[in-house]
Parts: sequence; structure tokens; C-alpha cells
Amino acid sequence: MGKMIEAKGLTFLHRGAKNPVLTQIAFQAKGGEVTAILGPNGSGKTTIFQCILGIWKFQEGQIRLSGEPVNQLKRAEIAKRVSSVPQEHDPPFAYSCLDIVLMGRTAHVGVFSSPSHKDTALAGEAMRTLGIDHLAQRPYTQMSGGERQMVLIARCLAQDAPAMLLDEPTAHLDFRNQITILKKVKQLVGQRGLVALMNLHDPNMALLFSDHVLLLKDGTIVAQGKPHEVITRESLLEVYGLEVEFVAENGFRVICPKI
Amino acid sequence: MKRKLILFGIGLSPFVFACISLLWGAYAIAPWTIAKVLFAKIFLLKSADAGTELSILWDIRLPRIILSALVDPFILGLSSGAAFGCALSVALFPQFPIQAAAFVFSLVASFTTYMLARSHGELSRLHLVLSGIVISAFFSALVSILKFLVDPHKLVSIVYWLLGSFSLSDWSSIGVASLGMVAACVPLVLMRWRLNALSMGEEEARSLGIPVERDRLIFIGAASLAVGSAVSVSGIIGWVGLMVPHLTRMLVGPDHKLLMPFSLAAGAAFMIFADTLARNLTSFDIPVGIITALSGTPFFIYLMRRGAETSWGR
Repeated sequence: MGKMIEAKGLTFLHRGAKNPVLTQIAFQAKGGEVTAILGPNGSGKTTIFQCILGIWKFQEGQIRLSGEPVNQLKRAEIAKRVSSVPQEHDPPFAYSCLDIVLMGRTAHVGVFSSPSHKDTALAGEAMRTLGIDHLAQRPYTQMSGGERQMVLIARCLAQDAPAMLLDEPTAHLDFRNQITILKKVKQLVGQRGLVALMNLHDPNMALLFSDHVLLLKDGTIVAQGKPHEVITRESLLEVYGLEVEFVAENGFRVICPKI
Repeated sequence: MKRKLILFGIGLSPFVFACISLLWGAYAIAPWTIAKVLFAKIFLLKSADAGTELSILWDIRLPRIILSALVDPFILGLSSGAAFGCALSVALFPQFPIQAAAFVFSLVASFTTYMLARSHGELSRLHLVLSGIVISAFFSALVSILKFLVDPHKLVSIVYWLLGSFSLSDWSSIGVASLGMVAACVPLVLMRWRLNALSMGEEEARSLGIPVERDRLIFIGAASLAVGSAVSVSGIIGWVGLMVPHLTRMLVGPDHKLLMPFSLAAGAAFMIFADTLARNLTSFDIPVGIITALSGTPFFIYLMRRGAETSWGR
């Protein structure tokens, strides 16, 4: 079984709620591809992540991580199969960036032990891969938004899982940092054949950086497939209720909202 | 290099303070005599000097020092529960061992606090602190009822005990306290690195591979056992558990892998120091809880002014 996140008939309701947050979600996120989830606020993007990570228990359907059903795996076993870059991030203490990256080794380190030299070396290597080894001893709380995202992606690499979830990795980042982060993710996915599933707000970013797109509205997948096929005037109107125009220039297609 | 020196200093501090404490007391004993007496006792030699010095050192000062070194950090707002357990055992159920009562009620207090804070799903720090205050107030009220109802003779021992003191230290209380302490500290120290991930919040800790419920149960259970056994021999000595880890974090950084063992050492050193002051400042033995509370207040005013952001000490 290759690297893959697979969802079938996934349905999720909050306890006591009548309307499901997710209804019959089905998709495959393959290794070596960036899969982007697009959809308005409250359409269930983050909920999909919580279900994949086994944090929230879904009522129906199945999620398989490289073939294994997530609801039959223990916490540490899930963490060995999928890592995640959380959305907002403010740790309670001023851990050094290396401390944060080392946390990625939690699932690999025994319950009654601390990280070994090998774990520290792997964390250092992950930081070098992202070009942030000079930040190792600096406090994470003093890092800029872009540097923090790099540290968290390094933590995913240290976690050494075949799949990686990124929850709005470009939120709160400046224009340049948005591009830097997404380029880095795409490059890592290409080099290592990782599964990357990310929530995005900007359909332009999905056009530029993703290989597969899921379009989400009110907890159901409206369309999925190649970015250029899925992201169209009609689908964006349906999902966001927004009139857009596509502008083609030098082989790029850019979405421009009508204002 | 400077960092190594700091770490070395903290590690050594309990022993330094222990030596000072051995020397300093109402009954003056020369350093040379101390060395001789302890050497003789440890290697079971007959010594001419025995008698008073030996008895003061071996039966009074040393147990007190060891005990004050054992009794320290972990506060989760559970000491009030332990206090109630002890007061209950002193006042109404003398046949029920104080240690057990302290342990049971510190567990009751900490889990009620935890459940209260959890009622909205995700556990928030603010909720935890607020529920801690509520539960503390509740158990303090229960302690007050006991104080009000009990006969004056027992009242004195409850009050003295609530103030926190090492004045009744002997070798048997060391035995009792260290049993619980060691049992509690083994899992805490072995699992200390996981506190880093656990401190990042429930969901993130889960995604990093930590079974949050199980780990939290272990940490709270072990901390309750430690506090229960500490409180049962020394009474409530407040503020140490907040002050010492905070100070240590400023010195060694927030990584619990270092922070926990060095907090233990610094807590031991601080308690020996505070108790030596308590013994020697006046001609009577002030309860040491008063000293720690007095030093805790200005410390926290300073911390609040300085702001939490600068707690980074590297």
C-alpha cells in the first residue's frame, strides 16, 4: 500500500447537534501530490483534519492512513502516520525552536524516556532541510509568522510520518512568506513522495501550488480533481457566491474577483 | 559555559544550604565537631563526643534538613484538599492515617478542579486556574468548619499544621514522606519530557502522539501523591511550588527535561534555606509557611510587573 490518506462516506456531527458538519466525504490524497481543500469559513475544512488526526470521532464512514483505519490506531501510531501544522500557535512557554521541533519525536520516544542523540540529530537535520538551523536556540515565541511555519514544518519532518496536514499554512503571513512556505511544501512533497493535505483560503494559491483540489461547501464535496478543472467561474460562484473572472497571462491563469 | 555554571550551581545548592543549616542553630556546634560526629555515626564508630551534639545533629537538625529538602514544588491547587484531609484526620478520625487522608483529598480536590475546568470540552488554562480557586475556597471553608467545631487542644495542632512547619521532624516522618515522594517522583521525572508536548494544548499534544487523558491522569495522580505525602508531614507550605519552578525556568529555560530536575534541586535548596531562617530568625521556631508566603508576595508582584514575556532566561 502506497502513501495515502483515504476517506470514504465520512460523516461527522457534534454531540447533540442535528445537522452534520461533514456529510459523505470521500477523497484520496496521494503521495507526491499536494492536495488542497478550498471552501468558505465554516464549510468543515478543519473538521476533516480533526477526523483524520483521530482527535474527533466521526460517526460514519472510514478514514484510512496508508491502508489502516484511523479509528483502530493508538495515538502514537496515528502520529507516526500523519503529522500536522496547527492553525494558530502560541505556546505557553518560550521554548527554543529546537525544543519545538524535537516535540515531533514524541511518538517515537518511549513514554518513560527523553529524546536520544539520534532524535536530536533528526530534529537538527529537519531544521537544516528547511534552512532554519540557525534558529535552533532562539525562542519560538520571538519568531515571525513565516519562521514559525518553517519550524512547524520542520517538526512534521522530524515526526517522520508519510502524510502531513497543514491547516491554513499561509494565514497571517505576508505575501512573500506565503509563497516561500508553499514552495517549500511542494518541493518537500516532490522530493520525498509525502502526502500533503492543506486548507487554503486563496484559490489562486491552490492553482499555483496544488496537484489535486477538493472543493467543500456546507460539509459536502462539491467538486474534486485537477485544479484547473475544479476551480472554475461556475464552481467558485456556487461555493463562495462570488463572481470572478479568469485572467490569462504568460501561461498563468489568475482569478480576479469582480468588484 | 555560563549556562553550565548555572546548572552546576543549582545542582549543588541543596548540599550547600544543608551544610549551612547544619552549622547554624540555637545550640552552637563547631564545624569540626559536626564532621566528627556525623562520620562516627555513619560508620558506626564509638566517639567520645557523642551525647548532646550527636543528638542535636542526628535527631533534630539532620532529619529536619532532609525533610525540608523533600517537601517541595507541585502545586495544582490541590494542597487545600490535602489540608482538609489532614484536618479531618486530626479532628475527627485519629485512627485514619494523616498521609492517607491528605493523599485521598488532594486527589479529590485535583480531579474536581480538573473536571470542572473540562466541562466545556477543551481544557483551558484560565478555567483550570478559576476552578482551582473555587475548589480551594470550598476546602478552606470545610477546614474552617472543622476548626470551629473541634476542641481547642486539637485546634492548636490544626492551626500550627496549616501554617506549615518542620519543627516536628524526625526520622520516622522522613520515612513516611520519602516513600510517597519517591513513588510519585519516579513517573514524574521519567515522563518529564512529555510535559513539553502536553503544554502545547490538548489537540496539539494528541496530534503529536500523546494520549492526553492517560498522561494527565498519571501526572495529576503522581503530583497529588507527592503533595499529599509532603503536606502530611509538614503542613501547608505555600508559594514554593509557584516560585521555585518560575525562577528555575528563568535560569535554565522552559524545557521540562532540564526544568524538572533543577526545580527539584532548587526547591530543596530554597526550603532548607527558608527553614534555617525560620529556626534562627527569632528565639522561637516560626512556622516556615509564613516565611515562604512573605517572600512569595513580593516575588509575584515583581513577576507581574516584569511581564510573562520576559520569563526567558537564556
